[in-house]
Amino acid sequence: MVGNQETKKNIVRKILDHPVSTPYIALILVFVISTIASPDIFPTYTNIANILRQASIVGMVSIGMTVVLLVGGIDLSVTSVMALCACLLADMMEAGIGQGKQGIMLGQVLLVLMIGCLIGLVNGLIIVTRNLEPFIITLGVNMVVKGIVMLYTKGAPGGKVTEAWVHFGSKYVMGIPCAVILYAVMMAVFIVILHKTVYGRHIYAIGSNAEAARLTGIKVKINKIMAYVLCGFTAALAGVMLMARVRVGEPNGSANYDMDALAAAVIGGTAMSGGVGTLAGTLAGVLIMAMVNNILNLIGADPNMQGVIRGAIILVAVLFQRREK
Amino acid sequence: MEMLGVTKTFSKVTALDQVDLRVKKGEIHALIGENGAGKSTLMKVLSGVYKPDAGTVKIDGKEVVIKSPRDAIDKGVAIIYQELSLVPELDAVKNVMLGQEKNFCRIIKTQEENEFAGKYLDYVSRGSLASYKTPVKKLSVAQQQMVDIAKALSYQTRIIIMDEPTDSLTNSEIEVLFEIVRKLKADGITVIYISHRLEELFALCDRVTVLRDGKYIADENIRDIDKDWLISKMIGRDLKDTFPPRHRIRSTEVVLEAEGLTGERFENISFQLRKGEILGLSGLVGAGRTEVLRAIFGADKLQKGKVTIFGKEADISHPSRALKYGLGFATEDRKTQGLFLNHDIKDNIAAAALDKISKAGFVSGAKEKKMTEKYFQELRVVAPDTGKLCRFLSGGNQQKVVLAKWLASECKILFLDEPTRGIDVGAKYEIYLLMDRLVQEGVSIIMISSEMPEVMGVADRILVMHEGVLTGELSQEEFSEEGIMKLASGEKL
Repeated sequence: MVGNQETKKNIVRKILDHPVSTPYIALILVFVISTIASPDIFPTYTNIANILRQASIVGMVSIGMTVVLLVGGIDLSVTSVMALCACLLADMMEAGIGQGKQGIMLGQVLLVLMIGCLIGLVNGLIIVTRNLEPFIITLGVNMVVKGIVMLYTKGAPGGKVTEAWVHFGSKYVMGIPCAVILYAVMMAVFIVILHKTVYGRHIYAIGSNAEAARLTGIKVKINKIMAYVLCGFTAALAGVMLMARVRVGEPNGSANYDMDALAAAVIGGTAMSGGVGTLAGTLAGVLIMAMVNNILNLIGADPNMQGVIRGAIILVAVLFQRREK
Repeated sequence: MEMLGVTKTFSKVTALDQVDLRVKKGEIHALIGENGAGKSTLMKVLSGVYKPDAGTVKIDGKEVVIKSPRDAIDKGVAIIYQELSLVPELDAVKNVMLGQEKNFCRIIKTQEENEFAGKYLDYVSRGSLASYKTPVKKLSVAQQQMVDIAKALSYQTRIIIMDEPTDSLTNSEIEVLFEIVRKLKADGITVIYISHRLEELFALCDRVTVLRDGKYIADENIRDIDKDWLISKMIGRDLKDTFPPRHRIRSTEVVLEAEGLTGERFENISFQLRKGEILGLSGLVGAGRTEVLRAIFGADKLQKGKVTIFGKEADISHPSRALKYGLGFATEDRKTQGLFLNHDIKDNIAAAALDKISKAGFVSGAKEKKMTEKYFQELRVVAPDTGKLCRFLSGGNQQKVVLAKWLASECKILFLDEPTRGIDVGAKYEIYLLMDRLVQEGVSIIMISSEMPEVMGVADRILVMHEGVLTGELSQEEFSEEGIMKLASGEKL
């Protein structure tokens, strides 16, 4: 009987020690509190689906953001990439719709995804080959791309979205919103990349100690650049998802996604210094942020309150991280 | 000054165990011991960096409690570290004034500063510092040290501790330092001198205290003892038992040949490495040994020269290529260059061998576990399992993980840069055993070591460098500390 007790304690200890446990415990707490605060609406299927759908877009951005953070960098150009891809694609779709096409328009989609990768490549090249601060470089790139988007759209939403993508933005597959499925698929792919491939190991090593990684024979520069390309890719994809949701190319619609993605990663346990963090943790962070946004809306809180609460959550999360160390 | 019964424990490691240190006023007192003996820790207690768990400190007969480095300075104790504590961008005057500016009100009065600091800078440098206004990063190491000493003096210290001050100095600079220290003594200042260079102690100091494994062993007047006495007290056993018996395959096959290697800190280096041999690379700090190996490994640029590995000319522009040729490199500073401290043992061991446990880019978790477990056991890393984060390991175990990493990579030529630095005696022996086993299996090793007994006890041949140039080669029959020191100082045998 004593043996049983010991094993129970060990299991609990093991669960608590796991790095991902903190964000998930927090997630459960948030869920419980929210259910208590709004028992009639919050836990309903429609609402949860809404939360998930909303979370998928931030989630998509945060996938790439997590990778870049892991490598010791940061990418503040994601919002402009989202906007650029959304507006470009919407305009291309408008042209296509004029010719009677209402399908997925795969070619055009791949094109904007490539553009996202390209911007990521530019980020990566400048940062890595010149050894410059990612914060400043991606910030600068963000301003340039954003400016280009504004010039191109004259600041107004435009373009059209094909039926296929409208369906994507609002319909379900087997009861789950399409956007959520895309997010889940991409998460699976990236989790495999980060945890099961040599590249993933290299990413974690570089983030932990870039010089030690280099002296262990890892090609630090190329791997880092690749991380930025991947981040550009997920940002572009998020832009496409956003466009599908709002059914138009909105140059101003991607505000706050960078900070939310960052917050989600940090809450999920990704260290800003690199080398530590998981996508599973980021997922918890994404869900927590989405739930908090949702519940604040449901209880009719002042919209400005949202900013306060979100900021507070981030601070608490970081302090918690520090204490665990 | 007396320190009696000082004890200090970190987690499970007892760094100091009832240590006594008695220093007479105005004497130059040497504090010696092997790496890890506790010298630095004891001085950190005296200078306020650590609080002792037990023991008392008395200065001028009165018991004192030193609460912080600032408190130590107020009580007249200053320490000059190996890693100098100056701000590189500021000039000499400002560095000296750092932390004391409030003596001159909030608005810093330049004239007064210059006079105040200048007084101490003059005393120490006696005109050898052309200007006190150049940023200290432009000064030589010896000059920076002078600024550090001047700073300590400006605090009106009565006890100055010098921690391995001559590691980066040339012979003439060492002489200048000695003069400064003698002058300090003449002016009534007490100096505690930590060094592993025994000749210096005999040239400079009055008395010596020996520590070993965190314990006080003995203290004597320098003139009453000799070098052998010191060494035997430091090591505590016969030199013969410190190194494992050699097993060598004695091959004539040349696995690595360097011809005319020239880089930023070295020139025209040529040598051969034979299969299954341990080639020692000796010299003083700054001789360029690490730089040569780094250049061969692709970590630094090689300006001129040719490297031939296993008969093929090697073009190594990046460490990733070095691995392909079968090279491995355990760096000098394992914490900043050799380990991923916030990752676990498993990740660290697998880091250089990922290609062996993966297929088409996908890592096999099972293979990884098997491989890392194997080396974890083989090297007897002291930890509950491979999931422990490396930053929680002791220095010796961290080094074992680094070695495990290179063993796992199955490299054929291994560079070891100060492999036993900062490691306790027991772990050192295990590492020597490992090296012996490796060469039996046909691996060839180049070992950089600044510990002469070590390099003589382990290596088959010794190359010596001095200021970037190879000054000589010693075969086993020719091994002698004197010989190595001479070559390392640029003299001919």
